[in-house]
Amino acid sequence: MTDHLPETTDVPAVHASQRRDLRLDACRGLALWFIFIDHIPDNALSWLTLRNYGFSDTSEVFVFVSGYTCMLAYGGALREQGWLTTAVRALRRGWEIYAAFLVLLIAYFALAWIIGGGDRYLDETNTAIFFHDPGATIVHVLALQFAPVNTDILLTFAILHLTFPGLLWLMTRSATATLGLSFLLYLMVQIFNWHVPAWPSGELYFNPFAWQFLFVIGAWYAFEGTSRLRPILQSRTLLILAIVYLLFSLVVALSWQFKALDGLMPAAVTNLIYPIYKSHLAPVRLLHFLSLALAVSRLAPPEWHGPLRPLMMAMIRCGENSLSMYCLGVLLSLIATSSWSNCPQASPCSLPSAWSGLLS
Amino acid sequence: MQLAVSMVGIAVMILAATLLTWESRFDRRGPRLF
Repeated sequence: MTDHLPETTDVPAVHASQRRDLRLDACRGLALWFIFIDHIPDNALSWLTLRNYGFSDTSEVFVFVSGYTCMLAYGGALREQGWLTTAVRALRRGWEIYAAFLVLLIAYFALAWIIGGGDRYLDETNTAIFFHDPGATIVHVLALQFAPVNTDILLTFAILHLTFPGLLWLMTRSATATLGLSFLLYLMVQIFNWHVPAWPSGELYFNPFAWQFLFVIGAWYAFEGTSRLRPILQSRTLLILAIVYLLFSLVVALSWQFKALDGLMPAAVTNLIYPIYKSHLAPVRLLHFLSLALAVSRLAPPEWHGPLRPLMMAMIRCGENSLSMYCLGVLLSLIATSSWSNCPQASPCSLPSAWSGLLS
Repeated sequence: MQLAVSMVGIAVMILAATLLTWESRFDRRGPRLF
């Protein structure tokens, strides 16, 4: 049985053969390095990462790029291979993320046990509950209700990919209405605090009802937004507004570290923007990311034919293998954390000692 | 020290990613083993 579509079927204009935009891979690669650095507590290098210079951080980059690339990949495949093949491919990718999450957790529990000797790092990594009640924890891990520290985003990614065939179907019916529905769901989170419960308490850290909006924005942009938004995105006024907002965000973010800047913010403004709740993708974070994306897309050349420098190539390589690199980064950040907490004076012995602990 | 540890971590990620990309070139459809 073939599931190829007739030529007249209304499917996206994106094509699988479309040239890969290396800027996306480079962005993802850089985001992966930033995530690794940010996952190490008290790391001075985290001054290099986005989170100190604005409301949003690399999580937004990841989710948006994911929605965009999903639409490029599956939307393009839809015309050439039909619904059945496309849906199966999307579900398979969702399954891969789910499987990667499970494998990562096994490695994470083992690593936390090895470097902590069974009693340290259990609270910091949120793995204590596993060692106290492994049976119940495994059941809730399988049900996507529990994730140790720094692995939470994979739960939301698995959900987003598993629901992508439905999103694609809705997009082919009406992309604008789909974006509207997604925004409505996002609003429900902001107004009525809709969330997905986690185990043993609380809610999923990356609320799928909220973060889906950024994912859908990415998918919508690849689907039809590129052409529809082109006149707006070329607007000089919009670019200036985006830069002003980025500067405002920069001052606020710096005020979290430098108390002297705190007084610069009028109370009316701080009352308006706080709390900035990452779990629910607070509107100020969303707006910051969109401003950043606009500024980058305007200022970075879309077609790059020049020689790829080694650093850029390294970012692209990591971006091409984002799922594996994310998982590896989580484990490496745990090793790095232990490496200098074992040696409070940060002597050069710390790194070898962490590695030898692993190998012993 | 923090710089060194972070750089080592990123270097490991780059090495692993390069290996994965290199390995994927050999990824061809073959017979189903099970």
